[in-house]
Order: sequence, then structure tokens, then C-alpha cells
Amino acid sequence: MEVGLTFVEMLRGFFTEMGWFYGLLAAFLFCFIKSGKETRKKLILILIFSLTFVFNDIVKMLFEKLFSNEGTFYRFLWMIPMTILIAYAIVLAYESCKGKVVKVFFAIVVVAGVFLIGFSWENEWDLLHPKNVYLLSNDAMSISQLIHDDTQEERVTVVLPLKQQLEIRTYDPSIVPAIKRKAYINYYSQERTQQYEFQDPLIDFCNYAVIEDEALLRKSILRRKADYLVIFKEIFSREFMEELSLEYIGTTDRVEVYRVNRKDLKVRCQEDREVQKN
Amino acid sequence: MLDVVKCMAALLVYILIFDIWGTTLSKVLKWNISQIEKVLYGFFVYYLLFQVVYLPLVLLRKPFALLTGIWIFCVILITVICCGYLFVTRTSIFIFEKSYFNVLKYGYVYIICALSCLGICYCVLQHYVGWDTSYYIGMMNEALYTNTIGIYDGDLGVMEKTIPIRSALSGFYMQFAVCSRILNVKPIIVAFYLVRSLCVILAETIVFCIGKVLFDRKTKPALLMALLWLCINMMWYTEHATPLFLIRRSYEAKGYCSNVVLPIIFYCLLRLYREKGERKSHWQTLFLCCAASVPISMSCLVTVPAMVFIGAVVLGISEKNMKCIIYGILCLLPNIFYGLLYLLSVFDLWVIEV
Repeated sequence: MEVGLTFVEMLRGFFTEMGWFYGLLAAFLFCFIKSGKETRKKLILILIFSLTFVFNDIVKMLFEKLFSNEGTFYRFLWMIPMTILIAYAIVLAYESCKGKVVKVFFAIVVVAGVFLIGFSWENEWDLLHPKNVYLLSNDAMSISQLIHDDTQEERVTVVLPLKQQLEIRTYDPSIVPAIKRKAYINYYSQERTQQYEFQDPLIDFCNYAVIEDEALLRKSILRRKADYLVIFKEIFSREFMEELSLEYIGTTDRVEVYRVNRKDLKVRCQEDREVQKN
Repeated sequence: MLDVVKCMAALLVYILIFDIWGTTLSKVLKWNISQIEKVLYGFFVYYLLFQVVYLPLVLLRKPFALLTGIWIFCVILITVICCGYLFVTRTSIFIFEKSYFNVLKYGYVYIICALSCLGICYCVLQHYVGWDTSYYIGMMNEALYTNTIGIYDGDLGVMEKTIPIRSALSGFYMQFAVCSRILNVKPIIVAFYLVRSLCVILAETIVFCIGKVLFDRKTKPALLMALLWLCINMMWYTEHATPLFLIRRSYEAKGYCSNVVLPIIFYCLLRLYREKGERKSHWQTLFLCCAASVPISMSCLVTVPAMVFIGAVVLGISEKNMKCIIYGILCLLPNIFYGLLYLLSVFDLWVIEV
């Protein structure tokens, strides 16, 4: 029963928000009506074959099994030249208008439609306001600079908040994140497992300043072989961080950078184990 | 800022190379196509040839410096040969084609060009960083930092145990990593400024070409359509659809798949539909685009065959010409080859240890 409906469901799921689905449908219908008999025949055939060979549950299942994991089937939607079709329909309608006044009126309606129904410029301004030539936050560069000023190592492992981790990997390959992508995916997943027991406390700590078990946090830092730790600034006192064997090396716009004192951390972990045994 | 200027200069050099290579190929194969199309097909020729150099080197785990050296040598050699051929045959390339500059006498052309430039700036200045950004630009970073090709994980910076065939089969990122090495610019700058600009320019040019076909060679409606297409992309981008991959993620191979490769396949099919599938040159251009699709993006591995297959079958049925279906399948041979390689790796029948 669902064969073919996957396609419609998919389109609706993706595009209802901004009238995409209806825009596409209207553009398709308009082009369909305006086209000749031969083109209509071809369009119907394309629709039938697309539903038969691509946009159905059997193909979706097969594709996800062989080529990719779940959630990538949407790429087949790129086969439909949606924006091109909408743009073509609008220009076609414009070209069909007779008389200058009608054309001008139509152009005003289109421009207003495209600009006003579209996204909000206010939200967009922040995205378009680069802080530096790398189009990253200044934190990424400052963290990298602080760490390189402090160490002679070629590669260092660093515990970072998510945003800083993503940014720093695009900027500096010598900084290796201590938290894996899979650990983050698992952390935010609804079916979260205990597979990443030594990375979850680090995610909690550097992203949300949450510590459930101080001993486990210390053990996690040690197990992940972290050389540095980055945390949002002014949340924990320096004394508290020293308790975790972390030595302050500097501050950026939003974060503080700490060096992990491995020797001290090992001793503290040993003490934690003894306390747990007793 | 100098790095950005270098990238913009590299963009012009890229377009010039595409122009020279595309014009030469069209002259050799006697394609009767416009000068703009020659530049577009030049892009596909470029990637096809890069793949010939890249794929053996990545599978043999050769150093990145070797790839850079060989590719620079190849580009210079091929360009010199092409220039010699064009000179001997007295063939003009796009930048010397005077007829194209005739359109500059129309005022609307300037408005459309200025708005398009604004659109490109808008795309280039987006500062979106997600997991894929970190992975792909990380991969380019690792290639330069470790002098290896595709061996280090872009996200984590650790050495893989086996070569990840899925990302190794496409040379897209390594091509721009080579450019990054030549320019001595960080990959992030190359990705954000050069790769994005190139994607938007190519995509808009393809839409213009589609407009020319749909509006019976008329320039004005085609230009309007290209501009409107860019505005719709800018204003109405939405998750997973092509606008997102044009505006924010056009530095990724996926951005090129959704906005360059699939639209040009659509364009080739459109030309075939107009000519009732009879002109061989259109099939040749389709073959070229299919062959270069996987080197550009692994997302083309199945999307391009699906599109070409449906297009060829519908053409074959509507024109009652079975040759169209056969030609369509022939165009898919490169994708089938890559698909088989990929499936071998999925089922662990082909594993390359690092």
C-alpha cells in the first residue's frame, strides 16, 4: 500500500515548512498545463518510472541496506530539479503576461513573494557576520594558539565542547579530539547505550558543566589520554579544576584551556580506586 | 586576506583550464555546443582526468606530495597540448569569444550579473560548521599535515586500519587539497571561498543553459530564470534539499552532486529529449558527465544511474527507439564499475590495509 507514497511523504516531510511542497506542486501543474501533448506524455512516464524504480519502500530498503545507513535516501530527491522547475514556472508565467503593467505587477508579486515568504533576515545576519577570514569563531584559533604555545608535541589530544571541536578540526589538524563523533551521536540518541562510558562524562563536563561522578570524570580523562581540556569559562574555580589535575593555561572569548597533569591524575585515579575498594 | 585573493585568482585559473580542456574535447569530438557549455564540460573532463591519476595513488597508499607533483605536471602538459591544438586549428576559447560580449550592451545583463555576484558573496560568507564540515575539511587538513591520501580520519585525526573505500573512490577533496598545497593556503580557506564560489558559478551557469533550452535560445528569460533560481535558493533553503547544499554546504561533494552534477545530467537529458535522442554528441556529453560523476561525489553513485536510467527508458519508450535505452545503459558503465568496487568493499571482499 505504501509503494509510491514514500515519495509524497518525503516531500511533505521536508518542504511543508516554507511552502516548498505547494510551490513545487503548483510549478509542476503550471508547466504541465502549459506544455504540449508530447511533453505531457513524457512527464507522466517520468512520474510513473520514478515511482516504480526509485521512490518506493522496496528501493529505499534495498538502498539503505547496500549503500548507506538510514536517513540518506533523501538524496534521490535531488534528482527532481525543484528550484529550477519553480524558477522556470515563474519566468514562463512572466513571459506569458501581456502588457507592461501586468508584467510589472507580476514581477512585484514575485519579488515580494520570494523575499517576504522566505526566511527571516534577522536570524541570517548572525550567520553572515564573519569574525575572521576563516569564518569560524575566534575561539578555535585562540585555543589552537594557546595549546601550541604550551606544547612541543606534534599532536595533542584535547577534550573540547562540541562546537569548538567541530571548528578546530577544520582549522588545525594537530589537535585530536578526545570525544568521538559516534560518542556524541550515541549521547544525543534516544536509544543511548553505555558503549561510550568514558566519553559520556567528558561530554557532560565540557558541554554542560555537569559532573555526576568526580572519580569517573578523572578516570575518563586518563582513559581518553587527553593532554588538554577546554571548558566554558567562569563555571568552575581554578582550585576545583586543580582537584581534577587540570592546570590553567589561558582563556579565550568563551572558554578556558587547561593542561592535564598526567602524573598527578594517575595518582588521584589510584587513590579513587583505593577509596572505592574500601 | 591574501589567502582569499589567492583563492579568487585560482578560481579564474580553474575556469580558464576548464575552458581550454572543454573546448579542445568538443573540437576533437566535433560537438556543436555553445562556448559556455564547453567550460562546463571542461569541469567534468578535469575531474575525470584527476581521477585517473588519483585512484591508483590512493589505492597504492602513495604520499600526497606525489599526487600533487604528478597532477601539476599533468595539468601543465595537457594544457600546453590543448593550447597547441587550439592554436593550430584556430579555435577560440570563451574568454576570446567576442560574440559573448555583445550581450553587455543590454542594461539588464549588468543588473543580473551584479545580483549574481551578491548571491555568490552571500553563499561564500556563510559560516556553517557541522560534523561533515569537520570530517571533509579535516580530511584535506590531514592529507597536507601527514602527507598521506585518505588514510587519516578527518574527524578524529587517527590513522584508519583499512582504506575507507567509500571516501577513497572520489577524488573531490584531494583535488582541492592539491590546490591548497599549491597555493600554500589552509584547506578551510580553499573550501569556504574557492570551492563554494566555483559551485555557485557552475550551478548558475547550468541553470542558464537549461533556461536557454527551455526558452528556445532566448538569453533574457534564461538569465532571469538563473537569477530567480539563485534567489529562491537563498531565500527558501530547507533541510536536506538542494538549496541547503548550495548556500551553506557547497564546499562539500554533496553540494556539487545536488547542484552541479544532477542538474547537468538533467540538462543533457533535456537536450536529448529535444533532439529525440538522435544526436550522438548529446549521448557523448551524457557519458562524460556520468563518468566524472563519482570522482566528483560518491552521492552520484546511485542517484546519477537512477536519473539516467529513468530518462533513457522514458526517451526510448516515447520515441519508440530502443537504441536510447542501450545508449543510456552504456552511459552508466562507469557508475556500475564504481558501484561494484564499492559493493566489494561493503561485503569485505576488497579490503586494503593501511
